[in-house]
Amino acid sequence: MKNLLIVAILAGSYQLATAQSWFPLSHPLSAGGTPATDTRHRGLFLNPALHAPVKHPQLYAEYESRYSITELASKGLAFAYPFSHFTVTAEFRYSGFEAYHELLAGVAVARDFGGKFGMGLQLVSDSRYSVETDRYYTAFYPYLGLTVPLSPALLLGISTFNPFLKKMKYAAAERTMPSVYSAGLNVKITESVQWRLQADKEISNALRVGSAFDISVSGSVFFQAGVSYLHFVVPALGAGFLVRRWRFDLTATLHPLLGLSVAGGLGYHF
Amino acid sequence: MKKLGRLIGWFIVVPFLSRAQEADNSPIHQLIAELYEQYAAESEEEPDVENFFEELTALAARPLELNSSSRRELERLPFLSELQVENLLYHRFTYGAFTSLYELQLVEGFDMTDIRRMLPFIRLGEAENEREELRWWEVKQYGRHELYLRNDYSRQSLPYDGDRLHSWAKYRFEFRDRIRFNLTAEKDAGERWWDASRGGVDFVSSSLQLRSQGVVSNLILGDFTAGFGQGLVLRQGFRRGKSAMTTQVAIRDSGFKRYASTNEHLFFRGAAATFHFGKTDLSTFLSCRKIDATFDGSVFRNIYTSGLHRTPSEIEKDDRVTQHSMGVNLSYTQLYYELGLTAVYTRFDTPLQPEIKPYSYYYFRGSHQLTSGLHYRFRVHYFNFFGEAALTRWPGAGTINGVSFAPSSRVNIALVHRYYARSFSPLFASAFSAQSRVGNESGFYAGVEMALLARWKLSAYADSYRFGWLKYGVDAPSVGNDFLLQLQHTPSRQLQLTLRYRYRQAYGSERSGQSPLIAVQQEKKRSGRMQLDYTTGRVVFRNAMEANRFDGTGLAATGYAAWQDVIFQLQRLPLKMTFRYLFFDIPGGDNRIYTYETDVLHAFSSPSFSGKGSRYYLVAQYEIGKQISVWLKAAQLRYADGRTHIGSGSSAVAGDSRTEFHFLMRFRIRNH
Repeated sequence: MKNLLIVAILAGSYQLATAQSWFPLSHPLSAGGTPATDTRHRGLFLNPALHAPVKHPQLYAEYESRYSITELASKGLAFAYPFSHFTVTAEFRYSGFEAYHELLAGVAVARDFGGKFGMGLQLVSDSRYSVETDRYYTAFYPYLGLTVPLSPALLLGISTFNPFLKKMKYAAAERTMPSVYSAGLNVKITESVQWRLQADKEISNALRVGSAFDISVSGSVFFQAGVSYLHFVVPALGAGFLVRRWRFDLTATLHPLLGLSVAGGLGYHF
Repeated sequence: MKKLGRLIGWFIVVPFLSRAQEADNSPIHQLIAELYEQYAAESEEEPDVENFFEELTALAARPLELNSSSRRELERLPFLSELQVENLLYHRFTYGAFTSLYELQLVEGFDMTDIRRMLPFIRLGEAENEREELRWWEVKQYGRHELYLRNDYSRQSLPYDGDRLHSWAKYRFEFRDRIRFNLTAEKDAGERWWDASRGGVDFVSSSLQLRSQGVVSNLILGDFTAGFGQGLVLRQGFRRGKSAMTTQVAIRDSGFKRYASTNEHLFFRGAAATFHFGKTDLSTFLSCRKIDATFDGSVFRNIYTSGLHRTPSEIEKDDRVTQHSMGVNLSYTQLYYELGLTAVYTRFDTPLQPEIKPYSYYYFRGSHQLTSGLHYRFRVHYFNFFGEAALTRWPGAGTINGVSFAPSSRVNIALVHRYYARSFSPLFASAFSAQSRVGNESGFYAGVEMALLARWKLSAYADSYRFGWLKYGVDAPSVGNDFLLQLQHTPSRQLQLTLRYRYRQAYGSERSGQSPLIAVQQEKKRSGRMQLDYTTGRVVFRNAMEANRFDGTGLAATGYAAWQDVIFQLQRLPLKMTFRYLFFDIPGGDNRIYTYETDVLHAFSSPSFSGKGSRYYLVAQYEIGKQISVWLKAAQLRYADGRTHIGSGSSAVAGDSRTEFHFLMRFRIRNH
């Protein structure tokens, strides 16, 4: 029954079709879907330019229970290593179930240009497996990111995923893959309060907007409250804390039609 | 192998040794971009700014000396208002010569944007003596030679006999501002390289200009353009209409200009001269040229202006009609006023008979036309009045009158009224109007610029107009309103934020074509743009987003586009690169969005986008020593809306993407 439900949702629902086409860019830990300027660096496949300021090698694991359906859960792992002039990050995410799953892997190079701006380029490999064909199909995309601090309190973040509209080539057909342009702002209201605003435009979908407040308590405990809109208003709440070299993030997102998603992240810096 | 090594070494090492700084064309490109984008959004035609660019480039190569430049010379700077020129002259008169260009900040009515725009075109130093006798050894020794070679290549094959290269070559010689010569040869994509039956290369143009030779202040032999007054009688080339420079509506530059563009239509061919007698200028010209035309029996229906000769039907239109033109302008200039008289007579060897349709009922028909007009400008206190009245054949009259003034140092206002009778149809007019044609229109325009606070500037215009007769695409008399509001914030030299809102309300005809009755519907288009320009060191970022909404009867759609530019100049290599990524989701042609694109030198485009897709390009400029510069542009347009063809009609190409490469090489020989 559950599998039937999954198939029905994947195949039939427009809303979930939209969600599905955005799947490679899922950022469940950044409340309100605002990863273009999430300087707290939560989750995987953020704006690649955000890797630039990383100072220590770090490892980060992510788990998302999407709509509380086990088969739609995703698991990911990232490792960032800062060299003297640039940071290299490797990321990997698995989502789906045995009969159908997706593997997203990326290697990013990011550099901070003297605090004036940061740039990042990620090469993403997107592989999909379906039991029907019993093989993997893969496409490669670039993922470009830019962060520009317009003032000490205002950060502009831009990213573009699959800008060249690469398609996935299946045995008998081609499928257009998501191409997303994102622009976001991060306003540092006070030392402990940030406000993020982001707009995403997937080439074949309507504009999605998201916003979140990010509050830090004593620099080691964080709270997020955000909301995004694309056909539905989707609220999200999150919290996180730092203990020595460890960090933990948890974010819950409530889709009014599809239900609750909960994501957790665990990081360690060396 | 040794030779190859030397060659590579030359390409890499020479630029490091070179310390010469080329005149940076970025401010000119930026200025043209601002004007071009505005114009393209208002007009159905692609504006020809190539000649305008040539003029600005020549001005940048020989900047005006700020302390000795006359009013007329300062008015060549197209971004300065009359009031700014006046304030600059007043400042110079009151406080004496400028000792530094930074002193411009003290001149009333100048902000950082104006000063930044001016800098490439002005200098402080010794004034040139224009009356100095020409010495030919100096011409030979100090003259500057330039050769430009350009090729545009499209990866998609075209359905024409000729190859897919668009190529041109230009040679230019300049000696100060006194002697200029240029020769241009061009072929468009799809045209043949050499067609003996049509005289070889598709388009060849040449001109020789001599300035300040005794009483002859300007003499041009060959191809040239002409413009006088407010353009009601005669003006060719780039027409500045409504733009975000809301108070710059009066046309000030006048006279003959050499023609160096590859546009195959907008010029005269013959001789033109301006004689200077004290405060009086007498300009006269004679032109005889073949023009392209669509024939129907023994008459021609219209003038074919695209310059494309790729298919048998296009080639059939080539050089079909001989056009003889002659004209005269007499101008008298005093300190506070200027008066002028212009007359142009044109004769075709075959009568022009546009197809008789309701909208074209009042178009010019016949084999000859005389247009004459009077123009004026005068200043009373802070008010600058300007205008022109012209007549073709009664009752074909038109008049435009305006005033610009500044009630305070922070506010500039321009008001313009125009009335062009429906039977006013001058052949060479290009005046302020809401449509590309001058005629069948009356309207009132008001523009204002306000420096609200330090670093905040508000510009706005409102234009209300009426077409007393039918026009193309509108099957009844109609009215329209255009509004623009722009807010510009410049918190620092590095950062500029521009917010622009435009509203246009006009009428269009019913699209279905089902109704036997005239069905005219009101159409509204609202558009908003946000642009952020940020400079850090040698890198410039530009982010822009535009959204619009079109509402017609039974039609309502919203379109978006967003783009990101990154421009950077390397420190150790004379290499400059521009990258753009743009995506668009624009449901229909009525929602199309125009964006200006960086291109190789001398190339300008402001393509319109509709459909779903993305466009990206990379433009690289590399200086190989003092003599050689190379530009390369690689661009791709890719649709994501499932289309199988791009373009329409005979120019349609198969596929959902279009890839193009532009290449330009400049050889420069400077003898000093």
